[in-house]
Amino acid sequence: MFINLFKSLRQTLFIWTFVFSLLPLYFFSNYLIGEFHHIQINEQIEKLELQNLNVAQSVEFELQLLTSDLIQTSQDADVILSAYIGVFGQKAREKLNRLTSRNSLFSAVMLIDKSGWIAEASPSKAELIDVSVLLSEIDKLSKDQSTVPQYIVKIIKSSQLSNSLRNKASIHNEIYQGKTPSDHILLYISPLIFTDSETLNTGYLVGLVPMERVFDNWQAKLSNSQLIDLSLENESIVSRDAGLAVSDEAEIIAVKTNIVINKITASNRELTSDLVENKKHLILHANVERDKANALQKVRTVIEKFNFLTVFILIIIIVVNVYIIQKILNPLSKLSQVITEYANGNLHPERPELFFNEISQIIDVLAEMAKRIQLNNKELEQRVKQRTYDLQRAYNDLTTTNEQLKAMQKQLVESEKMSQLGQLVAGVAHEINTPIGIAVTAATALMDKIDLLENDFSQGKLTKSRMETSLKYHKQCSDLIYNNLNRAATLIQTFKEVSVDQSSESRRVFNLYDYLHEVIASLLPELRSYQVQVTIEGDQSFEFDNFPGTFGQLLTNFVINSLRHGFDKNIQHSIVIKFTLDEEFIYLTYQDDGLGVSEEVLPRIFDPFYTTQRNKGGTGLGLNIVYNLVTQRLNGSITCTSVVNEGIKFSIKIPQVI
Amino acid sequence: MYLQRFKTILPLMFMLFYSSSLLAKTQLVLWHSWVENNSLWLKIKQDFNAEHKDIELKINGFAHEEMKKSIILSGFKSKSADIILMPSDWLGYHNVMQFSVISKDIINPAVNPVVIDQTTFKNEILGIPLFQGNHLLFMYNKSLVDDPATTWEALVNASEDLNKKGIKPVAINYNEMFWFVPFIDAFGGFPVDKEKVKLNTAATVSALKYYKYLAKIGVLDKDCTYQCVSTDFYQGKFAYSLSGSWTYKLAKKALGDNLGLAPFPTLNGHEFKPMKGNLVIAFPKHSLQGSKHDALVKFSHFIQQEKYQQLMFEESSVFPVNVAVMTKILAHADSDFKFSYAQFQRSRALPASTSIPAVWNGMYKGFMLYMQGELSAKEAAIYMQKSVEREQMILNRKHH
Repeated sequence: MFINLFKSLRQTLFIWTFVFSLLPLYFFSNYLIGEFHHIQINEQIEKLELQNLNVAQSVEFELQLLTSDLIQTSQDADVILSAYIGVFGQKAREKLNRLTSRNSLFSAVMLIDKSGWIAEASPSKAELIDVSVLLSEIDKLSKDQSTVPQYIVKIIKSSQLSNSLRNKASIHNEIYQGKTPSDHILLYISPLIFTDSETLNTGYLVGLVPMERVFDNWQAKLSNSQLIDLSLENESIVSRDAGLAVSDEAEIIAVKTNIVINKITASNRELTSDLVENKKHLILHANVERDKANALQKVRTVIEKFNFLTVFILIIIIVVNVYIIQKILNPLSKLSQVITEYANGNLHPERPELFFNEISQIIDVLAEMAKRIQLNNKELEQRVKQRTYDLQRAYNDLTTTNEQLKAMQKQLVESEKMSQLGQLVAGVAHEINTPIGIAVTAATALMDKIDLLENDFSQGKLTKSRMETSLKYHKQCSDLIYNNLNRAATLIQTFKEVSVDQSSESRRVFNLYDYLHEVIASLLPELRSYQVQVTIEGDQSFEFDNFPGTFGQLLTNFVINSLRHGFDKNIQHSIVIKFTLDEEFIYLTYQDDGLGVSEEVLPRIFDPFYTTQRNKGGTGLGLNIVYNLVTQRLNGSITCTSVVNEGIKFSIKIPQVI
Repeated sequence: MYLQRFKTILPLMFMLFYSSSLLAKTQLVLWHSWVENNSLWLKIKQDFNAEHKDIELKINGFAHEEMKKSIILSGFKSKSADIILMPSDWLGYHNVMQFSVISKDIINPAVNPVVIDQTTFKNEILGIPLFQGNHLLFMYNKSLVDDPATTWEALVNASEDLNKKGIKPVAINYNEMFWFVPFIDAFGGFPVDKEKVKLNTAATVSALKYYKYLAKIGVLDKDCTYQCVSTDFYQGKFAYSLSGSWTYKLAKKALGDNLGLAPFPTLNGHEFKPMKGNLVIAFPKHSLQGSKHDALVKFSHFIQQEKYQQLMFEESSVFPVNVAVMTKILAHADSDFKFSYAQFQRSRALPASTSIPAVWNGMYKGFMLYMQGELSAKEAAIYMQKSVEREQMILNRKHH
C-alpha cells in the first residue's frame, strides 16, 4: 500500500517535496533553534549577572553620590548655621530640598541641632517625625568620638521611625508594591562643623534612606528581573513578598551580588579628610532572580516568529509547489486526455497548447502515430473486410458443415438410440423368444398329447390312469404355456413402456423407484450374460412429474456401458443405483465395480464420439447422450468419478420440478 | 642712570605716601539693604568723606536677608561691618550680632522719644533710630475698583465677580509671616507680648483657618510672592494689594491716578493692623566700644542731620524720626502721604525683643505644615509656639 503512494506522479512529487526536502529542513532548523535556546539560557545567565552587577554598581554609585552630596551640604554655611540660629533656615531649607530632589533615595533629610531639635527638614513635614531613635545614635556619636564628631553611616532598625517616614516623608511615590515591609533604615549622619574662626559643632545633618527605597531603586533599574531580597550579614533586610516570587527553582535564573554601602569615594575622602573612615564596610547582599520564561521571552518570540515564518514559508512553498506541480502535471493531464481521445478512437483530438516542449513533442509524436494508425486502420479495414468476407464464407461453410455434422450427430444419436433401442429390442426379442419358444414347445407337446389322447379315446384304449396322466401332462403344459406367455407379455409390456418412453420422450408422473426397476427388468436379457447384482435404493413412494424415458435412457446407457466396458463375464459384479431427495433436488448415483476409467480418459468421458471400444463397434455417443439428457432435458448436472479397477460412479443432480 | 633709579623709586614713594595716608584714616564700613537708593548712599559717602578727611566711609549694599546672615556670620569672623542700617526688629539678634549699647547723647535730641523706646532692649539703647515706616498699605486699582471694600467679608463677596472678570482680588505675599500676623491680631491675639511669645492661641488657630479659607475661595492666591504685590498689581492683575509702604513710589509711578489707598478692611469687626518698624543704625560686634568709637560717633551725628533726613525721605518715602523734619513734611504732604502716615500711626510697632526675630522663622514652619495639611490648625499653633520658643532660647543665650 505504501508503494501505491508512489504510483501517482502528483503524490510522488508532493511526497518528495514535502517529506524529503521541507520536513528535514524544518526539523534541522528546530534542532538549531534548540541549540540556540540552550545558548541563550547561558547568555541570559551571564546577562543577568552583568545586569545585576551594573545595577549594583549603579546603586552603589548612587549611594556614594548621595553620601558625597550629603557631606557637601553639611559643609554649607547656611546649613551649618541654620542648626544654630533660625535666620539661616530659609536658605538651608532650600538647600535641603535640592539635596533631596537630587537624591531620590532620601526619604527625609533633617538638620538636627545639638539639643535634638529638628531645625529644618526636607520634606518640611519630616520635621514632625519623632527622632528619638536618632537622638540615641547622635548621642553615641558625640560621646564616642573625639572633639570632632565623625560622619557615620549605618543601618538601623526602627519600626517607629519607618512608619513615621512612610507617613510623614515619602517624597516620591512608592513604585513597587509586593515586598515585605522593612523597618531597616540606612542612616547617614554628618556633623555640622563651623570652622571659620572657631570650631563650632552646631548639630547634624541626618539623611534617612529606608531600605525599602533602596530595594525599589534597585528593582527599578532591573529589567525583566526580580530583586528577591537585600541582606546584611546574613540577615534579610528587605525581601519580596513570598507570594510574588517564582516558586519553581527550575524556572528561574538566580544571581547574587553585593555592594558596599558606606564606601567613600576619593572626592569624599578629601571632603572628609578630618573624618575617619568607617572601620568596617557595610556590605549589602542582593539576590536577583529572573523568570526563565520572561528572560527567554525574546528567544521564545524569535522561535515563535521562526516557527510562524517557517510554517508561513512552508505554506507558501507548498502553494508554490502545488502550482508548479499543477503546471507540470497539467500538460501531462492534457496529454493523458489526448491519449484517452486516441484510445477512444478519436484520431483527430483537439491539440492543446502545452507549456513544456517535451510534452508537446510527445503530442506531435502521438499525432504522427495517429496518422499512421489511421492509415494502418484503413489498410486493416480493407484486410479485415477481405478477411471478414473470407471468414464469412468460411463461417458459412463451417456453419453448413456444422449443421451437417449436427444433423449427422443427431442422426447418429438417433441411430445410437435406435441402436440402443434395437439392442433393447434385440435383447427383449431374445428374452421374449425364450418363453415363447417354451410356450410353443409346450403347446406342441400338448397338441401331441392331445392327439394321442384322441387316438386312445377313439381306439377305446383310454384308461383312467392314462387319462390322469394325460391330464397332469396337459396341466403342466398349460402352466408352462401360461407362465411363459405371461412372461413374454410382461417383457413386451415393459419393453413397450421403456421403448415408448425412450422413443416418444413423453412427460408424466411416475414412481421413480418402480420405474428404475422396470428399466432394469427390460435389460435382463443383457444382464443375464453377466454375473451382475443390481441394487436399487431410494424412496419407494416418491413420484414426480418428469420424463421417465429419459431416466430409462440414462440407466440403459449406464448399464450397457458397465457391461461393455467395465464387467468381466466371469466375475461377479454389482451395480448399485441410489437416489436421495431434498426439498429441491433428486440426487441419483449409479455405481459399478468394474474396471473403472483412468484419469486421462475421465475428463473426456462425456465427449461425443469419444470411445475406447471403437474397434469393437463403440460409437462414443452413449455418455454424450447421457450428458445432454441430464443437462438439457432434465436441467441437472452430472459428474463422473472413477478409480481404475474399482469401478465408476455417476452422480446426477436434477431438480424435482422442471 | 639716575633717571632709571628715579623711575624705580617714584612708584615706591607714591605707594608709601598712599598707604601712609590710608593708615592715617579711620575706615568705617557701613552695611545696608537699601540697594534701590544707591545714589543716596553715594552722596552720603561723598559728603561724609569730604567732611571728615580722617575717616574713610565705605558703604556696602546687601539683599535684606543676606545682610542679616552676613552680620551673624561676621560674628564668627574677625572682620565685620562697623555700622549697619537695619530694621529695628533685628535688635532681637543683639546676642548674636553683639550690638553696642548707645548712649543717649549720640542720639539727635529732635528724634521722637517714642521711637527711641522702640530701640531700647532691656533698658539699653541698642540702635539709633533713623527712619520710620516699613508698614503695609492697602492699595487698590481705581480702574478696577469703584468703592474699596471696608471689610474682609465685603472682599469675599466681591471676589467672585472679580474672578469672573479674570481679576484676582487681593495681592498678598501669602507665605510671608509679616503679611499673615495681622490676621492673628485681627482675631484678637498678637503673637508677641514684649519678650513673651503667644502663638498657641485660639486667635492663631482662627487666623490660620481663615487665611486658608481666603485662599481656597480665591480671595487670596496662596502661590503669591513679592511679585504679586508689586509687578502684578501694577499690571492690573489684582484689584487690591497689601503692599509695603516702601513700594508706594513705584506703585504711584506705575498706576498714577489709578492708585488708591484705603483703610485696611476690618475682620469680624476687628481692626486689621499690620506691623511697622523703624530703620536704625546699630554697631555690631560692639564696634562703638572699639577703636573706631570717635569716628562712629561722628558718623552718627552726621547721618542724623536734618538735611539727610529730608534727603532720605525724598528718595524713599520713609518717615524721618526727626520731629521737626517730619512736621515740615506733613505740612506740605499730599493726601496719599498723609493717609500713609495715618496708617503708619495705626500700625502696631514691633518691639525690640528676641521674640520678634524668633517669630518669623518659627511661625513659618508651623504655617507651612498647616497649609500642607500635615497639621491641624491647633497642632500648627502648638508647633509654632514650640518652634518660636526654641528660636528665642537660642537668641537669648550668649554666643560669643
